Amino acid sequence: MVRILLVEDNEMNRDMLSRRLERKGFEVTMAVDGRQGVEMGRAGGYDLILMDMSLPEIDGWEATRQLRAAPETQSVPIIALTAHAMAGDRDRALEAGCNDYDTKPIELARLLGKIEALLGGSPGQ
Amino acid sequence: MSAPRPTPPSSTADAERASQFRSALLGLSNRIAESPDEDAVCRALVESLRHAAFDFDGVGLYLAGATAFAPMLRASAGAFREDDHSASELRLPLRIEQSTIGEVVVRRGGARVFEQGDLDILAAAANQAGIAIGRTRLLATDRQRLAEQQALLDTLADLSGQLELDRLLQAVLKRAVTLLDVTGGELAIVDEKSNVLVIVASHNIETNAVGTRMALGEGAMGHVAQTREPLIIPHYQQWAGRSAQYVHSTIQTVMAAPLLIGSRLVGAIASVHSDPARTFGQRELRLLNLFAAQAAIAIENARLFSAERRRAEEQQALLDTMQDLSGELELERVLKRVLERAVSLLSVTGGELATYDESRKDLVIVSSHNLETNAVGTRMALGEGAMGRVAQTLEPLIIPRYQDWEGHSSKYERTTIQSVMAAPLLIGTRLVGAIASVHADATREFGPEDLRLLQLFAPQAAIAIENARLYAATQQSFELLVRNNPVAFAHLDLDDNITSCNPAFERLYGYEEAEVKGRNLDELVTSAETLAEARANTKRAALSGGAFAGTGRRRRKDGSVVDVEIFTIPVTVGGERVGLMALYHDVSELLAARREAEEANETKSRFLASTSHELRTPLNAIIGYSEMLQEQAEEDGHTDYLADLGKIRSAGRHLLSVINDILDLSKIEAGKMELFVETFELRPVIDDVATTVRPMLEKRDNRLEVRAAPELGTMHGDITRLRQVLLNLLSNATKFTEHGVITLAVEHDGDELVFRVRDTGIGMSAEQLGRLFEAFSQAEASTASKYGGTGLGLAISRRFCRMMGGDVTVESTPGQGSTFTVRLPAAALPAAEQTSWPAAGGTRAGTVLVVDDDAGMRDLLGRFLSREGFHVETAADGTAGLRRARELHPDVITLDVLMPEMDGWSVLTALKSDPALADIPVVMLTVLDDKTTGFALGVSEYLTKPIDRKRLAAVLGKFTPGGGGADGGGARPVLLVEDDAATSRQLQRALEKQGWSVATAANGRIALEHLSERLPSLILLDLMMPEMDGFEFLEALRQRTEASGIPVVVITAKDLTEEDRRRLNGGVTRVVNKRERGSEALLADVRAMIAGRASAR
Repeated sequence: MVRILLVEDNEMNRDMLSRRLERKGFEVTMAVDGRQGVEMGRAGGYDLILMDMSLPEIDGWEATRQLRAAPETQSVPIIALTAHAMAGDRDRALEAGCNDYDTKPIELARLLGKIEALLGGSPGQ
Repeated sequence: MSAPRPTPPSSTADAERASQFRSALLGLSNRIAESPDEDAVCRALVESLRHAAFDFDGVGLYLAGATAFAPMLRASAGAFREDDHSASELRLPLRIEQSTIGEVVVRRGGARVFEQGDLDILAAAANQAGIAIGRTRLLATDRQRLAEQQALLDTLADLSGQLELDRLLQAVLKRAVTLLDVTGGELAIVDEKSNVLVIVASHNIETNAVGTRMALGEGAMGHVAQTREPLIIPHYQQWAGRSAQYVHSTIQTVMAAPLLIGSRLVGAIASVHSDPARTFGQRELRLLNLFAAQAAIAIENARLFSAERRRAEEQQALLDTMQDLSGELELERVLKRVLERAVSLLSVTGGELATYDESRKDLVIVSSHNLETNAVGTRMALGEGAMGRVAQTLEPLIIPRYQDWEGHSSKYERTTIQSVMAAPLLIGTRLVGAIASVHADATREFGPEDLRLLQLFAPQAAIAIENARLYAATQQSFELLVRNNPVAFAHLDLDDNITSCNPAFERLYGYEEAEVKGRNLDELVTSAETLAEARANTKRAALSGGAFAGTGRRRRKDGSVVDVEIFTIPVTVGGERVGLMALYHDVSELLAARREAEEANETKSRFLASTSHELRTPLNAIIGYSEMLQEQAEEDGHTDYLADLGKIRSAGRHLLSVINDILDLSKIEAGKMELFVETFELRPVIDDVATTVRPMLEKRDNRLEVRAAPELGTMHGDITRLRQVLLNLLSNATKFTEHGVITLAVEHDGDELVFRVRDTGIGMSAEQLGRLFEAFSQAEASTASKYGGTGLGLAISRRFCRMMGGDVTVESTPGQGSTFTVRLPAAALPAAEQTSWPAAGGTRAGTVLVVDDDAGMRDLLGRFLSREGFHVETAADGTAGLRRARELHPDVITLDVLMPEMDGWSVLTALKSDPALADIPVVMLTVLDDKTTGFALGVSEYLTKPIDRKRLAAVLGKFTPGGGGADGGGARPVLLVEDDAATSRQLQRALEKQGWSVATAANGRIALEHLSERLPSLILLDLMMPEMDGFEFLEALRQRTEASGIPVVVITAKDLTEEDRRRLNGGVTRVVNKRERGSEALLADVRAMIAGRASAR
């Protein structure tokens, strides 16, 4: 089963997205801030990380950089999620080391498409 | 002459002697008689007496000179020495008539004595010589007088050159008196108008009769003028025609002659003897005739010339009048001058001027000159008095005897007014007024010549008066305007001192008009900081001749400061500047209101941004959970909830789109919306849009047609915003169309791309179309509820199109559908020019704002100054320059003068009058060499183009905190050599955040170029780069001695091999692995290294 780490500080968003992804067959683990995200990410075992960018403690940009810098998470795909549909955010996310980028509110179909593209298959595989 | 009696002969010898003697005596007589002058007579006498026959040894002749009484030896012959007393001597006096004029002396040596015969000979010779000398002397006198007379006559020819008549007449008369050697004389000339003689010159006569008029036939001159013949009156006092004027005078004898040119009478001349012993003879008469002929010609010439000149003078006077009057616009003065001119032009005693009052149809006397009765203010009906009469008839009028005239006014009954000439003042046929001129001298009369003059004068006067009246009316309304104007006015003289101000000025500045009169305006209303700027503005307006407009801060009497809009307008009259007008408009409230509005707008934008964000989070939950529930309901088979859940989700999405639109719009309005312009293939975008919108279309049973060439080429623009615009138009089309066709057509039109979205929907009326693109105004308020949508989509679309250099327009017919047309430039936007040049030498050297309309200059300065270590921002015109200055608050501004629309001086003035910007040093860069204006307006430095770049850099360095400049006085930058743009930017940003200035180079070659310009304090070096990699760069760096001490930190993602390390060969301070260390750690390393190096220095 595909393991996803969802780093998101907003409880409703976390609840919603995790439940929807779980229904699609993913195994979802959650972190509530950037620091926890990095710790849990490095603790290992995730196939993909969904990273909210505006996070307490350390923000998504920095968390991504740290994950990228850590050898154990260096190659784990990260999808940035931002509330701002600002042009430039995408560049910044990619610069910070993200593999892809999506805006909130989440369109599940679109997000699933991106996940599939990065993992090269459906969650069950 | 009595012959000498000869001595009787005594012999033949005696006879011989006697014959010789006689012949000698005859010779003497002949020679004397033939002698032409005195000297010859003297010589003939002495030489003839030395004849052997007379047997004298020496002969001498003494004559008394003209000055010395003692006779002088005039001639001698033989042995004659004055001091010889040895010889016997015979002396005989030489006489002319009764007077002795000299002496003849003969001498004879030895024992020979004088006899009676000798005495006889001598007496005869002396007698003859006396006569001869007397005759020659008389001849000489005559000849001299003749010569003198001739000379006098000749000088008349000289007098002809004398063209001033009065002086000529005097000179002629004086010459005649001298010539004729008379006591005195008179000269009269003919007044052709009245055919009488007027005495014009009198010389040495007891009665000076100049000005007296005489009929022809009256008196001596009248007589000769009539008869045309000269006349001698030997006994004037007994003469029947004598004039009573001279009865008691000493005049004894008179000789008069007419002055004629051919047969035409010019005048007459009379000469007078007061000495009864003197008489006039034919000789004098002949002389007078000769003289009279010449004098007549001289006088006539002078008269002709005089008339010419008078005409010229008249014209000049008229010209003066016109010029004078055209320069004078104050009515009262114009009227006064017109009248004075007329009086002087016509040589009259005085006059009056009246203007026509159109409303009351009468005349009012407005000016009076030199009349006993000053009637100014008196009103006269048309037809009343002289002026009333001419105003009625519109014809000029001469009244020879005013007191006898039937129309004379009782006002003037007791005055000395004798004759009057009046004329109407007309412009075309329109009556402006009337003028009257008056002679108080009974002998003066008005003639046709006077009338001609007045008629020449009158139209000019009429125009001058009319102009002044019009001006007075304008002036009055202008004065009213100024007095009651809320704008403060001050009038200045040529020294910028206040001559007057209006109540608004008093209110604005708190001064009374009396306090400010004569004060220098700029000194009065400025403080020390604003004086120079105010002076410069005033000077500019004065020099340019055009109005100057600007804003500034001015000081009130109580010291408080007021923001004002200033207009300075030069006042010119007839092309000559006479002063300035300064206008002030209090804009404090306006500025305050604008600031408030700007702040409010800012607050609104911030509020919208934060509110939108706050709204989005819960909305995400609403949308997300409803979606989730839908999915779950579907899975669990709870189909009865599905529809409701769908409504919740759809309402949420709508709300979200409204919020997004509002956010977009507020960003656009706050100027914070940025475009991300790139070049992209257009066709895939169109296909993508079509795919996105098709399901929505089909829901309402619409069909989408895409009409576009398979290959549309590339477009340069913001792809996201283009998609947004097209999707908005297509979804709009869908909303208002059912069972129809929606067309998306794309085509090239020149440099533009044209996108058309056409529907077959309900269409819109003209009224609906009018407000279509305005925010929050859907075609009908009810439309939104019926069809959905935020009403912001079109407003946003239009703004995006305009930002991209194009526009969107609409055509529509109600019931038939609408067509929206988007036009966008296909190629790069013109505004895509680089306007910002990051400092190669780092922001520490300061920010320079370059304001220049020349793109080449901006580019040049941008590149050069950024290499010199300045951060450069550019603006292409004055307005943009000011805006950028407010946004950036740069360390220094360079300013071009010659720019369209708003020139450098205006920008400078605006900068210096804005308290927030006034402290920014301004360096003028211009081809104009006008340093004075520049410094007066507050310029810090003035450089003329072509620019000496090094000097510019040095000058700018003075005004920037880092000290900048070519000599690199400031902190030296970190040179970042990295080919990956993202990494480079990230590092640069991080370093700059720490206060370091960063220069970047994309490869080793560029880095080397940087080194030549400015040495960095540290080099951060990537190894794997195109063109010149890190290893090659280090090789080259080693060759440069000046760069030897610079620490080099290699940042690489590469695992270094032994070979690599050998190549680096200790040339680097440290190697950092990008992958191993995060950017934070990397930065910490860099910080430590630079700090260490800084402290080591």
